[in-house]
Amino acid sequence: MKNIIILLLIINLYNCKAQSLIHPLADRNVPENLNNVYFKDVDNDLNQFVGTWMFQDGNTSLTIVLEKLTQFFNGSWYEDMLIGEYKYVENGIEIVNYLPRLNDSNVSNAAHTIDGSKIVSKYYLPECDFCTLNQRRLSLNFADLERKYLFDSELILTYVNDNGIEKLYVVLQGKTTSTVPDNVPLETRVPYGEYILIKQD
Amino acid sequence: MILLLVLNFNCQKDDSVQQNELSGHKTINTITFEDFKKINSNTNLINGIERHADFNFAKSESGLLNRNEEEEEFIILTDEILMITDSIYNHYTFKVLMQSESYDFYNLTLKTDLQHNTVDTKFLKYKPTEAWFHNPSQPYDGTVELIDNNILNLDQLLLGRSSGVCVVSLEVVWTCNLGNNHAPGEGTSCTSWEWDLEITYGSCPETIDAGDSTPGGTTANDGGDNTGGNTGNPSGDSNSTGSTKPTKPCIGPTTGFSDGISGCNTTFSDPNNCEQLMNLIETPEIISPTFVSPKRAIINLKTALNTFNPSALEQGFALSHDTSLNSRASSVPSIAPNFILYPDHANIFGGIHLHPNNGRAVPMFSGGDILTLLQFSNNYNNNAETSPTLFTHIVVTTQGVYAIKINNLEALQQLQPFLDDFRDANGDGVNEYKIFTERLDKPLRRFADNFDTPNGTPSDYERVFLRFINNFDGNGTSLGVDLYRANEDLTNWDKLTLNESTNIITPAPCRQN
Repeated sequence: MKNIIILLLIINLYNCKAQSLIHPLADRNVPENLNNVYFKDVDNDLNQFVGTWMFQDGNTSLTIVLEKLTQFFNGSWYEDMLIGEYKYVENGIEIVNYLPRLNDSNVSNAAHTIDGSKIVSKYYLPECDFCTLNQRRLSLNFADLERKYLFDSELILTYVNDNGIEKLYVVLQGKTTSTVPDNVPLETRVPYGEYILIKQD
Repeated sequence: MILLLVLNFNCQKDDSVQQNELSGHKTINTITFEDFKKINSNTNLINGIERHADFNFAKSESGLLNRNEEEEEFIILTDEILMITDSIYNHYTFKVLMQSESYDFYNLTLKTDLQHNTVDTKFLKYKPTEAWFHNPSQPYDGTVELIDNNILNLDQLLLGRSSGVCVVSLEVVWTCNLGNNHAPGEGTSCTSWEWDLEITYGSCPETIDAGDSTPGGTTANDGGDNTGGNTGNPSGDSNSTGSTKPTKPCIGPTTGFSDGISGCNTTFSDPNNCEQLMNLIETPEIISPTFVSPKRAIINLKTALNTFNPSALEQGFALSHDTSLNSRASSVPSIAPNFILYPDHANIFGGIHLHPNNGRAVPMFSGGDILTLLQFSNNYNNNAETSPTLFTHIVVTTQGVYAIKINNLEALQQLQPFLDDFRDANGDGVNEYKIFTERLDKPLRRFADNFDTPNGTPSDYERVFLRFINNFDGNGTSLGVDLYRANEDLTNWDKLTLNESTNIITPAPCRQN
C-alpha cells in the first residue's frame, strides 16, 4: 500500500511538471528558458490550414500541401506545427515540385520546405483588411532549396470560408537578413506576391 | 615625394575648365591672379595669398617649383583660378601644391560677397579613390577634409578669425544644359550634364577639435577638374570656435588602464571594437554618387523613421572599404518590410539596416542579423589577417541605433553549423537554423500586444537581446557578441552589459565625456 501511494505521488508530480511545460501557441508570454517547453495548439488554430490548396491563373498554378504535426520535438522544444511542400507551374512549365518530399521517408520533419506555427493578427504586415478584429492568421517559413542563400521566406496565410468555399489568402515575401552573391535572383522561384488558393477535395 | 606632387599637379593641369559656361544660375570662369586682383581690392587677402604664391618660387629646368619645405608648407598656384559666380557670392578655387601621399590633392577656396568682402576661406584636402583619380571625368569619388591647423593659420591671416566648422552634408547635384536638376538619363530634352558638390557646413562635434582629422570641406565641381570648384551653399559656420591645437580624443570608459594618450585614463576590455564604431561615425563625409559615409547612412535611415509608413520596406547600406581601407556605405536594394540582403563582396565588412517605422517592426536585432555578422566575417578578405573587431552590424530602429560587434570570434563561429544546417541540411532531424532564430524571436514577441504592435521599452528589448547573446541556448553558452547603442546625436556609443542577477543594464561609453 505504501509503495502504491509513493507511486501515485510520483505520477502526480510528473503530471504537474508536464502540465507546467505546456504553452499555448498564441500566447506571446513565452517562458524564459524555451528548452523542453511544449508549444501546444490549444485553440486548434492550425487545423483550418491543413489540406491541399491550389492557386490557378491560366497555365500558372501554385499547389501547397500542409500537414499538422503534434508535439514534434525539434531538438530543443516540443511544438505543434504545420509542415508542407509546394509545386509551382508557370505558363505550363513546371518550375519546382517539392510535393513528393512530403511522403519521402528520407526527408525529416525538420527538412520540409514549409513549416512553422507562428500565430499572427490581422495587423501583422501586410495587414489583412478583410479580417475580423481577432482573426488569427499564420506565418510559416518557406524555403527554396535551390536558393538557400535567401534562407527563410515568409508565407502568411489567412483562412477564409467564402460561402462554403474554403480559401487561403497567401502572401509570400522575404523576411531575413543575409549576404548574397552578385547577380542571383533575390526571390524564390515562386515569385513573391499575393495568391488566393482554393482548398482541393 | 616631389614626383608625386608633380603627378598630382599635372593631373590637375591636364583637365581643362570650361570657359564662361552658364550653368543654371552660376557662371563658371577660369581667371588669372591678375584678374583676381582686379576684382578684389582686399589688400590683406591679396597679400596673404601672394606670400604663398607660386611666382615667389623659381622653376627649375624641368618646370618643377623649387620649394624650401622647411619654410613653406604649401604653395598657392595662381595661373589658373576657378571663379564661380552665383547670385550672392563669388567663389574662387586655387590649386595648392603641398606634400602629399597617395592621390591626395589640395585646394584653397575663398568666398566673397558681391561687394568683394571675404566671407569665408578654407583649405581642403581631397582624398579621391584610386578609380576616380584615374578617371576624373566622373563625379568626384572620395572624401574631403579640412586640413591641418598649421595651414588654417592662413585663415586667421586672411580673415582675422579662426575656422571651426565641419561638413554636415554633402550632395552631388546634377545640372543639365537646360538648367534643370536632371541627372544623366533624366530630362528628355537635356543633351549634356555637369555635376557640382553642394556642401553644407555646421558645428563640429563638441568632443572633436576642428583642424584634426575632422571632416570638412567646401565644394568641387565642373565635370571632373581636379581643382575643385566652390559652388555650394555653406551655412552655419559662424558658430564654431574650434581650437587650433587639436587633442586626440580618449577612447573607452573613464577608469583604469592608461592608453598612453595624454589626459586619457581608460579601462576598456576591447578598445578596438569601440574604436571601430567611433571611426564609423567620424569618417569624413564622402563625395560620391555611389557611397556615403557610414554616419550619413545612419542619419539617412533615421530620417526614414520620422514618418510612420505601414508599407515601409527595410532599407540598408553595406559597409565596405575602398582601396585605402577607408570606410564607406553603399545602399542595398529594399525588397520587403523584414528583408535585407547585403552583397557578399570581399571588401564588405558590415552592414547598416533599418527596422522601419511601420508599427510592427521589432526595434532590436533578429537572430538572422547575428548570423549575418558571422557571414560578414566569413566573406571579408583583404589579403591580410583581419581583426574580428572590424565586423559590424548596425540596426536603426524607432527606439535607438544599435550595433553588434564580435568579442570572441570562435564563440560566434559555433553558429556556422546553424548557417549550414538550413532545412536540416545535415540530415540529423534538427533544423538548427530555425531553432536559433526562433530562440530570439519568441522572447522578443513578448513585448508586442495581441495585434503585433511592439509595446516594450528599449530596455525590454535590450534585456532580451543581452540575455540571448550571453546564453543563447539556455545552457549558458555565449555568442561572443557585444551590443552597443549610439547616443542620439551619433557622437558616441555605449557598450551595454546586463547584470543577470540584478537585471540591470549598464552602459559604458566608448568615449568619455
